[in-house]
Amino acid sequence: MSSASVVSSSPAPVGDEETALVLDGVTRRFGGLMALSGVSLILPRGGRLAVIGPNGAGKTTLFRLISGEMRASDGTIRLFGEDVSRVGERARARRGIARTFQVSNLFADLSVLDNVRIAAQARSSRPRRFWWPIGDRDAYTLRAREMLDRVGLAQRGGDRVADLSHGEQRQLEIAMALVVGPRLLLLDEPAAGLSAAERKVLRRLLEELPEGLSLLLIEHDMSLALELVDHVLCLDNGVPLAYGTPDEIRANPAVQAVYLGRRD
Amino acid sequence: MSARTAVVKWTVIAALVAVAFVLPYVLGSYYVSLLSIALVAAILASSINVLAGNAGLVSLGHAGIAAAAGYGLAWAYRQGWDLWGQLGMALLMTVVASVLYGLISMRTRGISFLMVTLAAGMIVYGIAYRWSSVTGGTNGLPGIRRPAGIAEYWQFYFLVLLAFLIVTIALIVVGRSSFGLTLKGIRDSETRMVSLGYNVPLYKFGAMLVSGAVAGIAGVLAVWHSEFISPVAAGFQESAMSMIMVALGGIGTVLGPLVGAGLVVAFQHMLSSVFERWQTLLGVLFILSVIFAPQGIVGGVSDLVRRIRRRSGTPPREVLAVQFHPDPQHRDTSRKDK
Repeated sequence: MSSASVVSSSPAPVGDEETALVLDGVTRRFGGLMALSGVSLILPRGGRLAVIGPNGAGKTTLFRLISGEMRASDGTIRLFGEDVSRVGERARARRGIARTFQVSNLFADLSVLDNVRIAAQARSSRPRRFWWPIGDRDAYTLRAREMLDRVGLAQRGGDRVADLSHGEQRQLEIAMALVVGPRLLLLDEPAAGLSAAERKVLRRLLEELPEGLSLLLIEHDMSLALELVDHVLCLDNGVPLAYGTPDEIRANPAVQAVYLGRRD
Repeated sequence: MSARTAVVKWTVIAALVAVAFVLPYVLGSYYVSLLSIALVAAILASSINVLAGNAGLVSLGHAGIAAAAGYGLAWAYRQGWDLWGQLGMALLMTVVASVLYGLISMRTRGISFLMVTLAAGMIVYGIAYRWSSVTGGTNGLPGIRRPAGIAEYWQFYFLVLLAFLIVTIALIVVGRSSFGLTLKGIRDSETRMVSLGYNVPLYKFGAMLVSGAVAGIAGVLAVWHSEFISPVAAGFQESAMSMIMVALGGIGTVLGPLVGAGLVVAFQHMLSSVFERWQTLLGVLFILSVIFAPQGIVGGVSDLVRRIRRRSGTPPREVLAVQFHPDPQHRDTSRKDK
């Protein structure tokens, strides 16, 4: 895994071929409210970064800006060397971004297998037999089954999503994000609402992510987040508060005061 | 589905199709004609069902597309064009109407889609009503004779039955294809589809073209059946009645449009002769269906069969749910495979 280098003021000059994501002075305003102000960072290819902060810090807004669901009021976003600031969500997805949602966003009336299959066929460059009934040996179906096996849902392929537990739905979210073969994975609070046993399964799943995959993770579970990443960015009220390795962040008094609630 | 269930299912389907082909030999011309009306209505309802069932897009203006095809055929007939010319004009009008419907509705969903299609239907109605030099205005275009070979009522019935079977099979194939699965994804979560990289408006446009093609077939058959077309064919009531057929039969079910169309046509043409306020009864039936079988009659029956089967032996889902975490050994194997 390559080490992530991130700055919270202005990005250091790094070659485009080495970076997965570059944010330069990204700002987002909602009327008079400044949700995010001047966030800059560089995530190298294969780098893993956690974004932490208390509720309302601007973490999910940052994700929405990166994924293209929302446009930045100011600043630029470069994805794999290309300026995508004015590019929509669909086009960014096709450039290699995959994401999970804070609240599971799945196809509730479809089977677990069909959910992953939809994701599998989303970005394939192979010619599709588009009008032909889907078969069990279809390339997308096989890939979807393989991914379900990898995330531990092989036995649940035929079940409806609505019948899955919350933890399984989070696993399915990750399966759908991974099956597209992303270059940058955005995980928005993947452990939210999970039991201790389910967190263990999730942690193992995230530890097994492909080596070259760049990861941006929002997570409230500090023990989980800090073990999975090599750098952490702490936001507070939409402003970068601290940046460093997990150990540096744990020891940072400002982070402790704002995020961990200690005021020494 | 077990092999036994599949055999039973296909035997029932084969028997129903066989009965449908035998009916003209045992029923009088009036009833055969009613069956033709029901099948044409079922085809139009199927065109709405393919959108509503797969993509969750409920249209209130599909009669407009059917009427456009019907007017194309009727106009070409009155110009003295041959059969292929008439069908070609009907196809052209179907494509034009479907493309227009698709373009104005591809970025909408839910109530917005419903209102946009309703407006599109009213525009077709307005054109049919006002452009009297071409459409005949309120008098419509009468005297559209059926071509030789389907001139007799029973011949026409066989044509309509064949058309219904082909349309139904085609829509089953579409529903089970990658395209159909994509539409179902759009129905369940558009935002997720966009985040996966799908061009959602383009798929909606494609779905409208498929649906419009089916509506066009219904429009041509309707004109051949009544040998007449007027603005009423494009009116709100036609679209709404087709939507009721789908909702009554079961949105997203294969047989729902046929069951719904059969019931509505029976109420309209048979019950109306003994009970003047047949529409009230239809309304009551619709309300009862919404309360007791919100997924429609076919959906409700399927649900009931599923519940009975579950009670008679299939392990409940809770038992299966116990195995949801994989064993570590299994995980390690998959990791080595990478």
